[in-house]
Parts: sequence; structure tokens; C-alpha cells
Amino acid sequence: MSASKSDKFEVRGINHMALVCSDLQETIDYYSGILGLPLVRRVELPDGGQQVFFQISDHSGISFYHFPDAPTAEPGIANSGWGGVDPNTGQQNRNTGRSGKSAHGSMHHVAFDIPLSEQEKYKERLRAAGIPCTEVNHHILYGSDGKQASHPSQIPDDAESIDEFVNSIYFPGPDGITLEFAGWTRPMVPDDVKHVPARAAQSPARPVVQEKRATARG
Amino acid sequence: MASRSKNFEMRGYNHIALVCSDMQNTVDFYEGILGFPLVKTLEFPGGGGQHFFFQVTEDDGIAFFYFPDAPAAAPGVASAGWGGSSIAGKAAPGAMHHLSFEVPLEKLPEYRDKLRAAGVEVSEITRHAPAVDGDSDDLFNAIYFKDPDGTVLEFSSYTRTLSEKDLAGAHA
Repeated sequence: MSASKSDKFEVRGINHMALVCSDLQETIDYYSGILGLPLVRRVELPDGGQQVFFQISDHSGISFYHFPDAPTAEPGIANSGWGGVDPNTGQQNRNTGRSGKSAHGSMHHVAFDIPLSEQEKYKERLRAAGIPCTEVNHHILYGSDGKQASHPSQIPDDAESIDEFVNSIYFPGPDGITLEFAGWTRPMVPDDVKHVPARAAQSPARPVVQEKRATARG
Repeated sequence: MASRSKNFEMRGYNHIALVCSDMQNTVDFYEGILGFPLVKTLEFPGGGGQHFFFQVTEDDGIAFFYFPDAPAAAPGVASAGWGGSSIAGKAAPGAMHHLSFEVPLEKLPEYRDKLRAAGVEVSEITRHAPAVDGDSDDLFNAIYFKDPDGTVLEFSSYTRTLSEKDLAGAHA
């Protein structure tokens, strides 16, 4: 069992995130056939829909609904939309009319945790299975204002405060969902939490909360 | 944690990235009420927004984006929507319908009461999926509640081990 990080509830894992698909067979072929996840449960819904469950790890899984009369897909609202791999950068193309955003209360993308040492191998394995996959994005941060670089070669020679915490490869799942294989590059430390949480435009700022946090983390 | 994939060593969810309308409300809920520690904050240059990470277990996390110009909430398309006491309905292909955390079965009544005491609207305990052959063994029990942006969350527990008969297509 994976230990809960909550001090209030004994959460053992993400039992499932339930997504909606347009074609259940395509979804099974992808998640079982390509990602290798066992299909462990099928449910017939009262209205003619179906739900399936795949197991990811001992306490985490992923589930898909198929509704015969689901609303139309809305990339950019219902998920971030897959922009394809830009051949020049090796990263996800954000100039294809996809904003890279999605609506309040929506899923943007999904990252599975993998060993960092396997990332290059998994990139090749996905590509061999016919899945477009980005190069490794190192998510390097530098400078006082949090500039980002996807690869060490892009950092200016005089850059300061260079930091890296997670490396990722991105690839599309059925229905244009952006999937990610991510591995942490180092443990998180208290200084990793340093930004005042943004308020919705109409809400007043509450800087006092940040002071409380700083004290609590003492 | 052991991966169940035969092709990739997938240990869990590094993060499920969701979009929120107010990061402070999100921190208050996920860290303050659910107790998931906030472990990493990022701010995009030029007022582009924020990306905060919460840890759920050793191998699972969730993350939130805040974009100043994100599209408004779209329940029924971008999520299931909250029906007052439980999950309301459908969402579009490619959307997340709801998100379920696994908790110990015997804790469900206590957790329902604890969430309610924190001011969260919570469903009664729902028993799911009688077996195909008509006997009465539940597969899992769950309570439903919602986060500040209306995302339907679930605390669920299996009441028994999954078996071959669960692949036969039980009627919900």
C-alpha cells in the first residue's frame, strides 16, 4: 500500500479517474493494448452506456464511460487538446489553434508516474507503437521570473537560479487527451512552495494567508 | 508501488492536472480540508497563471492550473456536474467525469461526517454494482462530494476483490 500523504483522510490511491470516451473499443485497444493496463471491470449503465475500469497500480486505476448520446467533444474546454509534436522543437505544438487551456473545473491533462531512468526508452516504445511522442521536456526554470526551457541547451550562459524538478514526455490518448509520463528529478523541499495562490479576478487578494503558511512551515 | 502495466512501469498518477478558477480556494480545499500537502508552486512569466502540485500518496498527486483567461466552467461538457446529492450526468468525450480516491471501507461513515463537519456537501454512502449472477455482494461503496469548482470527487472502497465475473458487464 502506498502511504497516504493526507493527515486527515487515509487515502490509499486514486481508485480511478473517470473519463469519457467516444469509442470504447479504441479505448480498450489503447489502454490495454498499448499502455498494457489490465481491463478489470465492465459495467452496463441503465441508459445504454458502458463503463470500464483499468488497473494502473495496486491502488490506482483509470475508468472510461461511453455514453450513446454524449455531448460533442470540446477540446480547449473539456481538456487541453493535443497540439501534435512540433518537428522543430520536439515539444508539443501550441500554435495549432489550441490554446493549451481548458475550462474551470475540467481535466487539463494526465501524468502517470514512471521511473526517470526509463523515460527515453518509453518514448521510443510509444513511437514504435505508432504513438506520436515529444522529446523529454526537462521543465527547467531559471531567472527570478521563472523562465522555462525544455532542454538544458536552451538556457543562456549567464542564467541564474537554474532548477529542474520533473521531466516529462507527452503523447496523445484517444479523444485527444494529452497524456504524460513524468518522473520527479529530486525531492520537493519547503522552498518549492513560494507563490501566493491566485484569486479569481473578482476576489480580493488575501496576502495574510501566505504569512500564515510561512509561519506554519517555520 | 507495483505497476500493473505489462508494458510500462506506471506507479500511479504523478499528477492529474485540473483547472481551477481561484487557487486560494483550491489550496483551502485540497490542503485545508482534504489534507493533501501543497508541495510545489509555479508561476508563469508575464501573468500567465500558476501551476500548483499537491501530493495524495507517495505515488499519486494532483495539480491545478490557474489561467487568468480560462474558459468558464462547463458542467455537463467538461465535467459531470453536481446533482445536489450525487453525480449529475454526462460529460463530453475527452473530459474527466469525476475523480475517485480510495479510502478504507470502514472509514466511509466517519469520513462522510468529517467532510460535512468541514462544511462540505456530501452524499449518503452509495452501494455499487451487484454481481452479474444476482447475488448481493457489492463491489464498492462510495460517497460523493464536490470541489470548489464543482468537480465531483468520490471516496470509494472495494468491498471484495475483483474477479473474472466483473468483466462480464454487470448492470449498474
